Amino acid sequence: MQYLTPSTFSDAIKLATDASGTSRFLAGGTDVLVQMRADIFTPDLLIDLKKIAGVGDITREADGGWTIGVAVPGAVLREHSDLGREWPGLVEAVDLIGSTQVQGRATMVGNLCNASPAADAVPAMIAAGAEVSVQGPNGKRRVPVEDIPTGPGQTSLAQGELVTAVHIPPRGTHAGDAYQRFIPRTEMDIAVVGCAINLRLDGDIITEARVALGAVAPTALLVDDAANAIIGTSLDDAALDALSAAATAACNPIDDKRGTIKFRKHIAGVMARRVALQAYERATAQAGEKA
Amino acid sequence: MSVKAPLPHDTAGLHVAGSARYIDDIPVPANCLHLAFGLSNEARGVITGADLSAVRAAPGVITVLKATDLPHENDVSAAAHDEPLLAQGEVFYHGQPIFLVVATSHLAARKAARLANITISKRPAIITIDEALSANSRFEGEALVWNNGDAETALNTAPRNVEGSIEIGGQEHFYLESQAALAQPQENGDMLINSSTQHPTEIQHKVAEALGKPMHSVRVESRRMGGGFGGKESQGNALAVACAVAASQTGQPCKMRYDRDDDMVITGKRHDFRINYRAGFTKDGKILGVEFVHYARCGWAADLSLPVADRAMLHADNAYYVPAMRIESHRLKTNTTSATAYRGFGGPQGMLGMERVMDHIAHELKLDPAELRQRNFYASQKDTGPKQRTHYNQKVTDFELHEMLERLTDTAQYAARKKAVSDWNANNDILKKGLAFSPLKFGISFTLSHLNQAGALVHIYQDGSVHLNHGGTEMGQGLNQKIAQVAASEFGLPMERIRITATDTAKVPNTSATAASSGSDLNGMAVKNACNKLKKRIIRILSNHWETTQSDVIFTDGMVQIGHHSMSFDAAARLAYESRVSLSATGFYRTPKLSWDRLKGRGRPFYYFAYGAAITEVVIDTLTGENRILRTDILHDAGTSLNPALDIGQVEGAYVQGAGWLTMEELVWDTSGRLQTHAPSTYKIPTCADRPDVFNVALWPGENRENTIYRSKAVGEPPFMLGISAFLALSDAIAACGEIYPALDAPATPERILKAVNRVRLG
Ligand SMILES: Cc1cc2nc3c(=O)[nH]c(=O)nc-3n(C[C@H](O)[C@H](O)[C@H](O)COP(=O)(O)OP(=O)(O)OC[C@H]3O[C@@H](n4cnc5c(N)ncnc54)[C@H](O)[C@@H]3O)c2cc1C
Repeated sequence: MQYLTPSTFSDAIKLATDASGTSRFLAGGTDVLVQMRADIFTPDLLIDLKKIAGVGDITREADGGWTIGVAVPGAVLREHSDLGREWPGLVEAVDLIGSTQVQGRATMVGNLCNASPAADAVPAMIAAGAEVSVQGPNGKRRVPVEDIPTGPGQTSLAQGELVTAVHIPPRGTHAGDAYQRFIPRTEMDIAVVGCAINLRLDGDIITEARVALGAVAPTALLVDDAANAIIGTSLDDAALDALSAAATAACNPIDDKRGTIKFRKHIAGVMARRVALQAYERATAQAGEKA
Repeated sequence: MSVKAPLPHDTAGLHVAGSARYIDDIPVPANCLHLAFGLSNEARGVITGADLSAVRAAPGVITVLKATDLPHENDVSAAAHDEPLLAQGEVFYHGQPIFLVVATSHLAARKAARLANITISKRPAIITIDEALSANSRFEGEALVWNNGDAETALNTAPRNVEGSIEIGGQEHFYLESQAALAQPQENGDMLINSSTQHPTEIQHKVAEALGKPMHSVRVESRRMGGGFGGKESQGNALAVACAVAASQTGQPCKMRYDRDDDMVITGKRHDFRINYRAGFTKDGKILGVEFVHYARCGWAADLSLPVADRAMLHADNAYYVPAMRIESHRLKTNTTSATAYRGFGGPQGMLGMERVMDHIAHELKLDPAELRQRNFYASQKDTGPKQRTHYNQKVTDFELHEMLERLTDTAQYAARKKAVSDWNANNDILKKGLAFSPLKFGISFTLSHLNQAGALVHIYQDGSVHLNHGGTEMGQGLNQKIAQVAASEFGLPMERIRITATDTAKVPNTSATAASSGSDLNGMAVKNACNKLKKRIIRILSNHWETTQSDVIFTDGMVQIGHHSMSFDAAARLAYESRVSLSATGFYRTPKLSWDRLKGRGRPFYYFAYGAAITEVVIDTLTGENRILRTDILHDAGTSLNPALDIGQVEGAYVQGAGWLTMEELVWDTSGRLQTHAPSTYKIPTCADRPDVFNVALWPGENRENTIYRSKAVGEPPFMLGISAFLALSDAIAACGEIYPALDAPATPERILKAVNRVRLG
């Protein structure tokens, strides 16, 4: 196996495109190295992206949005002074990944491109309306996060394509997001159900919402029905019931040792309700702060 | 004196720094080979073809061995001779080793192992307890039944009855260091084995059998294990034997370690049980009679299942005097991994059966569960009346729990918190709290009486430093430190003058497994015996030297005093050496007073009992089944503790492991016998964050009433069963959701808790 550290994305793309055997991009390595050690997959070529200029940066854009480098680990995201205030749900979701040790390495993009249905950061990224820049032998494109994973371990990235940055939209006012997951113990675990909700208020009425579910289908889901159930409401009991029902209905989980279908669907409904209340509370608090 | 001092584990610093050596850290010669097993993909069937050509052709492969290639015995069982190292003709569980790959690297061996083309003609596999019962598939021919008194009449005439059943899941040991062994060929065909084992003598025995050599040709060394928990009592045999056979065939050192997945699929686990019960009692909750039926799923081979199931029966009373009891124990043979020893050795399952009965009765009578338990306790050791006997006719003379319960309910503010919990539950619909007390009485001794023996070897060098060895193994529990404390106290030396080396069959022969919590009881006494022999010799020398009579001798503070004479221990050692007196002695100990008939279920299997009591408070989320342990208070009886720091560590770890067994740790086999939970991604042990938020652990300031080493008590297994209080607390929280008894099964995973909540809510 060969290990290379290109200094530009173009070089990285070229290495991957020209590779005669299998290749893998390497960010934090908390999935890649585990897969190698466990003999699940050992590439012929490992292309480390961490030496490319700017991949460790978190940048505020002119419109108030954020660009996050592909090698920014969870620990750095969490310690950022503004990001977590604006996007607490997103930062908390990344922060749930693994342990302190894993946090020092694991990246959001690695979480996305590893394409586990249970990845914690992904529903939060989807709910936030995040997009990624993708670059490959045939040029650049910008893709909504929900279009990257296509199935367990599968992405829409073509051979030689990689993600070069994550874009988080401007937060704006009267808005809040939240992510919670269900696991059978208190830490270091894989989500049985994950739910992220991002919403905006006008007064006490929800004007915009995005609801995403993780671990209940082959990929994280953006559930429009669930969002529509709360848009235009003040998140009263009827809205919460409708949200909960829509979340349950959207699930298409597997029946496995970590949870039966019935259980996962039920939990998704409960989680959606709780996450919505938290996001709503945050949006209300943020409105108070700004006013 | 160094005994009773709360000294840290002797190699704690090395553990933390990563410089403590485990098997895989031992430097090996460059030509060392690595091994992996090829495993069965079926739970039961006949091997109709085994094409291993692709395995042999794979990169790095040196040789591949099948059952027919083995030179002598093909057996790695503990005793029953029913566990081939490599399957011969038939396979009996999914994951059973069929062939052995010997290659130049660990990865090469594992990769090659997957290339085999094995065809197996399937036979109907027996996976569940019910399947085993309907096929009458069992060990020992029939159920073992013990009767004490007339339980049936007691039940039929009792004013009140409860009846029910509880499913109790198994448990993966999840030692951090997976199974590992290293074999290095010596001259003359001898073999040196390093093994991560609790039982070096058995490894020696099995390797000798496999090589067709006498035991003196095999030396086994075990420095430490990264956790054992019973999982390394017999389960290391396969690796050591495989390494030895491969090393003897290739003439090169051979090493084998299981990857976590392989370890979980291949090796045995805690027995899962179903326990049916019927109990009769008075209106104020006094038990009159109980009938238990134990169904133990033993897996495909006998391993240690019979003594495990016996110990479950022996603990069916837990801490309660039951005037009439009948226990029927079914040891079922299934096509799953062969269940094996695991901390408590059946005791926890047996005890949980009785605690379930208590819980059920308390719910039925609406009595305080702690109060009900105390009413049924054996009489206090202070009680002057005739001593009560257990259902196997052993007198209970040392019962401590009345006093312990009183102390614990006081320090844990049981009554006030019980009220606070019920107030909380009255005011909260979604989060419900539960509080529960559970006691434990655990019998100490191997039930196979001849195992209750130990040896030691103590050397004093001419500079006065002491080197010692004993038959016990170090698995993180701190046994070596406790034993060193014994030697330091006997010789009156500071700890740094004592060194304990790796357990070694060439130094102390014919050892028993470090199991049954017996490590410090047995080996401590053996070391003391050796120290006493050496002290006598030193006293003789010094008496001659000073021409004095031998009374009034003290070994203390690095000095030896006889009457008004005194000399440093080091000078005394030098003098003994120059006087040509042997400064090396063996020590031996056998536990007294034991007699036991396991078929009749009568006698005194235990030298004494260890006691403990716990109160646990939990909260559950009734919409998701999520749960947390909020607070745990424990009072544990370690007699006069040899080392309170190590003992408290054992109690804390055991509690968390016990709670894990009954809550989040779930083994799932699919209908064709494949273990679905064979990695940390799917099998959940408690993490640091899962320990109780408030965790008060204290040792009961008692002393062993029997003459054990410094009047201490064994502490390895007993506190595991304090985890039962967490399970009972969850049941209590669920019970707060309605009127009916929750009848919770174990493990109480969130999903199972949620189901129980819904059941109770529907009424
Ligand atoms: C102990 C432990 C606990 C864990 N706990 C959790 C958890 O709680 N929740 C959770 O969701 N995950 C968990 N994980 C999984 C893992 O940590 C996360 O998925 C993490 O976010 C992966 O990020 P990384 O930077 O380490 O990715 P890497 O391992 O470097 O890469 C992951 C995948 O993404 C690809 N990739 C990386 N960067 C790019 C890029 N720029 N363009 C294209 N492809 C790319 C890689 O080729 C690889 O296929 C855990 C892992 C461990 C070891």
